[in-house]
Amino acid sequence: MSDEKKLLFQAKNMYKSFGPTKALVDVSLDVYAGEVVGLIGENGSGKSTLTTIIARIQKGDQEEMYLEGQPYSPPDVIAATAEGICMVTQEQATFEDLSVAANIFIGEEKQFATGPVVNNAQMKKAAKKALENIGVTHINVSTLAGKLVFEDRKLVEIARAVYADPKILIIDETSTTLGKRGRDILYSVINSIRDSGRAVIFISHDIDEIMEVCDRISILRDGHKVAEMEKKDFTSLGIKRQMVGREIEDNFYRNDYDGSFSDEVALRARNLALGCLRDISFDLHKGEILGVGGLADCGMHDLGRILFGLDKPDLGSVETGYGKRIKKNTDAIKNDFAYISKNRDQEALFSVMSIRDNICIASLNKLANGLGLISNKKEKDLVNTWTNELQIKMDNMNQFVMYLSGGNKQKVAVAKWLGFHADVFILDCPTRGIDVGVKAAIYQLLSELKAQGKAIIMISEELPEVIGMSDRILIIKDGLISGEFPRNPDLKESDLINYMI
Amino acid sequence: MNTNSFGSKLAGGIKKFLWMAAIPVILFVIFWVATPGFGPNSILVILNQSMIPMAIGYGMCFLMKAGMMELSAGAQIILIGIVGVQFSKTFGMPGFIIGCIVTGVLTGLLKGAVFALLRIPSMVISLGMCLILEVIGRWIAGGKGKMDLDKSLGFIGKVPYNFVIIAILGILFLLIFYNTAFGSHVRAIGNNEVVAKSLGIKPIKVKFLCYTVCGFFFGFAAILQVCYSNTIAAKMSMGSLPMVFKPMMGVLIGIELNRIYDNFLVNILVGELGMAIIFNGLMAAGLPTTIQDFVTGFFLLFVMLISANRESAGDAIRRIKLRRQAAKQEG
Amino acid sequence: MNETVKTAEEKRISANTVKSVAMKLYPFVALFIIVVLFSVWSGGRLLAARNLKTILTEAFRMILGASALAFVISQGAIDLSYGSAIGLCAAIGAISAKAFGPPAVFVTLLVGAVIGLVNGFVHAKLHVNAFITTLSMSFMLGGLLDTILGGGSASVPYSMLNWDSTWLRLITLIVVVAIGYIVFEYGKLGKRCRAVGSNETAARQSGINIANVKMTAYMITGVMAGFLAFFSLIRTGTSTSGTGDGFEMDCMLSLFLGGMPITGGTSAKFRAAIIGGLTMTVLTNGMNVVSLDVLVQQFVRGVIFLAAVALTFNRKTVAFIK
Repeated sequence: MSDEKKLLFQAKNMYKSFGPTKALVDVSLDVYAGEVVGLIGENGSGKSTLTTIIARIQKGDQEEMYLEGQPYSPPDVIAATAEGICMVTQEQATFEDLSVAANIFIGEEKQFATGPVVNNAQMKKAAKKALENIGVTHINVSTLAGKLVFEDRKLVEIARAVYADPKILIIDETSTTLGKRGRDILYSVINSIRDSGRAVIFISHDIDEIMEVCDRISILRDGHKVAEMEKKDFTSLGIKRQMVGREIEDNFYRNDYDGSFSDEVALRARNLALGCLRDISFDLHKGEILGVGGLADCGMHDLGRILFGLDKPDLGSVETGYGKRIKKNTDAIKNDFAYISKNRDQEALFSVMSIRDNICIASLNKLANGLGLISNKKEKDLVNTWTNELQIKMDNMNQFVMYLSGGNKQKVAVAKWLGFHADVFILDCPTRGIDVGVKAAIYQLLSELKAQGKAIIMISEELPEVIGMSDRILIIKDGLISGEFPRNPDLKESDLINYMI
Repeated sequence: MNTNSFGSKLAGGIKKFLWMAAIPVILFVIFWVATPGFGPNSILVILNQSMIPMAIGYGMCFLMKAGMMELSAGAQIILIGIVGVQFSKTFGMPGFIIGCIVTGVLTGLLKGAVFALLRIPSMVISLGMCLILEVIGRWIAGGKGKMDLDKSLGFIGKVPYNFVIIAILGILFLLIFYNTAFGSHVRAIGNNEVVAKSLGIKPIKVKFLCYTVCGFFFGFAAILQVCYSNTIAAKMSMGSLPMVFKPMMGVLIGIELNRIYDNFLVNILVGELGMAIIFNGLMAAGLPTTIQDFVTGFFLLFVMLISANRESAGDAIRRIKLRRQAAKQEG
Repeated sequence: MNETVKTAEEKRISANTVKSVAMKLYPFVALFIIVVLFSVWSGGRLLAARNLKTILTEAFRMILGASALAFVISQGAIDLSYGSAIGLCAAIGAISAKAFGPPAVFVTLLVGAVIGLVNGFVHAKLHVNAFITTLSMSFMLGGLLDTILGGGSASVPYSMLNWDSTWLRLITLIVVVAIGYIVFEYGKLGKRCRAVGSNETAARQSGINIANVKMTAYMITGVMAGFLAFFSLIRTGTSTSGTGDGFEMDCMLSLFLGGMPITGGTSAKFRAAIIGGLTMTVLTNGMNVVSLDVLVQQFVRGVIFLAAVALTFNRKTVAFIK
């Protein structure tokens, strides 16, 4: 079989860093004609970085690529499309004020133009054909994309990519936004490309899906390629082990199975409903680590925002143990709540502010004297205490946070709330995209906070850490709590997954 | 079945169009009933008055739809008008028209070049260029600070020719905004510039073109402006700023109306007409002219208030409804 | 191979440091150049004792105006109604002083506060962007001003002109600037303003009451407008429709010349108001002293406005330029 395989695309020695964060380190990737290559890895492992470089949405610091044996280095996306590589990105990439047809041919209008004037009727006809190409007939090409549901908008993007007749189609985490019908369409598109002797690069962090769809996978971890596997070698466990790395063993998480906590309630959520959340109620106790798990789009991230008063729930209420209502972010802060968003760099941190300002910003009220003024010394003391405690690697405290590595950034976000002496921690994906060493430090810290009697909610997409760290686990499915599990050494991921899907 | 759905879609489109057309009619009827001295005889005045802001609005629409702010339109149009009149003195009518259009494009190019070169927010460009263009206009206008158009040439921007000019501009607008790649790119950038960029659209280039096309439209607007009173006066110290207001509001209203009906040609027309009716109605009702600026400012704020809070108001109403329902179920 | 990547990265960072040092120095260099330029050009008249008094009067207005505006601009917001607010405050102040006696002139502060409150409320609570809010406000205030003055002017009782003195100005300037400096650099308010300008989402998720911070900043410019209107009244004795005209542009120019980035954020420093205010004062006064044509004066302002923003605008921290 191997002798008939034709090498279609090759990427070698790919490097990319964002400040001190190394997103890609010496990664290579081979793609053969007539196959579906899977890229799998945790968030921040470099999957999207690699593929966006291949699709020319960004450029690598160092890169060496060949398409059908010829050097491949187009200057931009349009040129990449012309050479035969197209990508469907993770983000929504349709424009609401443009018709479906205009969306499909954005940037490619020339083919319908005489002079500068585009023949819209002709374009619509072609758009209809493009949609039919992938088996979609229910979308009207004249409708504005803004009037379509999300799934249909994604299908429009797929039609756009497929219509360019790419030699290689890259699909980045697209299936999560698709329903059953959408997924079937996507899979048939993938199959037809494979069968016609071209190739697909498929990215997902859903292991089951990847095992089903792909012929071969490359596994990335922290910007390194750690393994390649053929279809015959696929095992869920084997892939997972490579994704998270050998280091994740028992002693990585808490090793006690005590699971006890105080009876005293620190946060009371009652009948919360917003968006896809329908009716969520629970108590969080002092000295408890409460793990919240579920599929990425089950609403658990919104739950975190509601608990901190950032979003108003349609129904229900959030209260402190003393019955004080949390309606706004300022209520949360008055009651010593802390929140770290999943989107750390955009929401939890001020990237272009100093480490010092980032750490002090939540504590201004506590630092200020009667006149509302804050002495330099008090600020510096606070920052020094917590940067030492958390061993944040930095040149000095006036350095911008954007120049820190992912793990150190997260430490700064944590330091902000430790310095604030928060009592209730709402942590959304606290170990997302950070290296193993810092992960261990964060887990260690959570244990210490628990011992001090702090209440912690850990929302996470990674079941191992939910199982490994929580005193109690809530699984959210269809907007409701579908299962509750006490801490138990025998608890397996598969036990939880049944409640998620 | 296909033809049927097409038929119903067409009917839907016509229905929406009639809704849009109803807006100025309803406003007109309200003032007609409420204000003595305001009635059918005001129609021509209203139409006549809304032509200039409409011409400016169609030009500004490109910039504003791409997410940019524009405050130097007044200064630019005054400058264009002054140059046009200067040319008319030697070359007559062709000099006036071509002078205005060419100067429009050139000033547009200048603004676009400054934007592309400095890469600073359009708001700053518009304030800085407002100062600079005012000076150039004043300098060319010379001693008196104003330029008079020869009376024999003024007809070109008056009834009925001004309607012809607007009709031409409208067709051009429709063509450029909806039937060119550039038009699509402008709207795409307005929706999501980051994604547009990732699909290979060059935002700086598109915005540079926006300034240029906008300048072209301003050339026509300047013709109308000069002919309105056969004269054009230079302004200094940002005195040209008020000229931007009505067109800007027309476009902002147009953007709001776009949720109901996807056609900026109609929406801006409705926006400008509606405002002209309201202003004339209020003046006929005896509102002092000095308070006009107050009303303008208030309207602008009002439109933006609705646009900024529509979603959150919807959320709040939904929340209250749901909570009431839940309370009922419990009780 | 990896090492070459590293050095490139290091080069980038060191280039950044050079740039940031240059950015810190630029306001001082600009001030120095402008002072020297106009001293020479005017043959020493710029720094002559008589002109220094004029400069002080001007600097008083400019530095105080820019100081208050610094709180708004550091949030990445803008106040285009500043000048017209002064105009309206002065008009109402003059009219009430005429009717109820000199102390009624302090009504200016109240009017200013109300204007600031409305600006802040509409922007912060009703979520209309700052540009549109204050632009509309400037028109509404202008309309009110024209209506109140009816095309004429209003004067204050003659006795009030005696309140004005250079010493009063000097002391007020020093005191207000000192307070502003401390609050901006060391106060909760200043730090919060910069945090909002740096990343509003992160500020919200750090428990900052965004609406309060925004409203406070607009209250500050509003009250300052009232304050400056008061001083304008006791110096000139009258309020006209031109009072305060273009003041927002002058203040913005001051801040940008002083190195304040238009996007606000962490590199917003209070010294921008002081240094920039001085630079702007010397520039304006210098151009008058050498009798530069008004056309050229406005042209210079326009060019400097663009150049100063272009110099301080950090293109790296914005995803795209609107």
